[in-house]
Amino acid sequence: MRLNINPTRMELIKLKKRTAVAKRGHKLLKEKRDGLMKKFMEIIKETKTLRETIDQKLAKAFRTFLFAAANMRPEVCEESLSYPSQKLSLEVGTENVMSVRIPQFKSKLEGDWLCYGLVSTPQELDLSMKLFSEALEDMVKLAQIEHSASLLAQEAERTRRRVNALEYVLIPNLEETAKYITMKLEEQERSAFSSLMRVKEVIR
Amino acid sequence: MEYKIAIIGLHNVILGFKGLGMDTFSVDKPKQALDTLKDLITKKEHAIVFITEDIAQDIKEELEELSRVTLPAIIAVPSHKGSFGVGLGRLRKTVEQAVGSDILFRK
Repeated sequence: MRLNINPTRMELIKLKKRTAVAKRGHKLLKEKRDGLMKKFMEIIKETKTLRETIDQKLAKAFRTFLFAAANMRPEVCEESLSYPSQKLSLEVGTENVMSVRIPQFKSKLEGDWLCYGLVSTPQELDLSMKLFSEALEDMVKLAQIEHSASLLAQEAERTRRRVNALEYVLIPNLEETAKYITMKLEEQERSAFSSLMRVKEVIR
Repeated sequence: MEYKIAIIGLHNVILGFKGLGMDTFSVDKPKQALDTLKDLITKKEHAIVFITEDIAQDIKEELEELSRVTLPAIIAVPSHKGSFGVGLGRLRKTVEQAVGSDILFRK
């Protein structure tokens, strides 16, 4: 589609500049897209495997825990877990991948998860807590890479759209308009030339 | 900066994580979970919010909207009923969004 611009030399110069900028932007965005995809591919495989293991591990842990909880009176269960002796905190850093900020989590544990009396609680509780505590590190890792993957995916999609818009819409439009203006100007020149010849003929 | 980890789910299911030092938020209804989640996002104290799949599968669309921010990371985890594949489903969507077609799960 031709842009709606007056066919003048001035506009032609402007257009040429715009085309150059658009082409450069297109090249850069294409590189950004490739970079994003590279990083995405690196982590997505890992995410999938980790997600599958976590799904299994946690489902098992939750089931064990439910059985353990069913073995106790609800109040006892509540009581034994309401004052955790383990402190869990998270250090968060960010990594910059092609100007997408993806999080880096590092969990910090203090103390032990054993925060209840062994006498009043069934053995299954210990087992399930152990399962939970084993899964914890993987969960943090999963959270990190799965979230990174989704952030990267969003940015990748956006970048791909921009690349396509430049490649298939903006740049062709600019080029077509530039061509139209050049032809128009040439045509004007020819017509001026021929009328000049005619005038010269008349006054001779 | 130090952050905490939160988990949202049914009360007796997530209780175990309390013993591990996570902040637990017990909910019964998906709507309630959504409110809690929004609350947690505005407070910005938690870097990771886990949400059990039995709750998450009813608020999938909203989760999609909310997990666009850098922090917190909102992650679905399976519940006592096992995995419904919400987590894997989200992963598949991510792949489709980035690549344009499903290259991981297509068999």
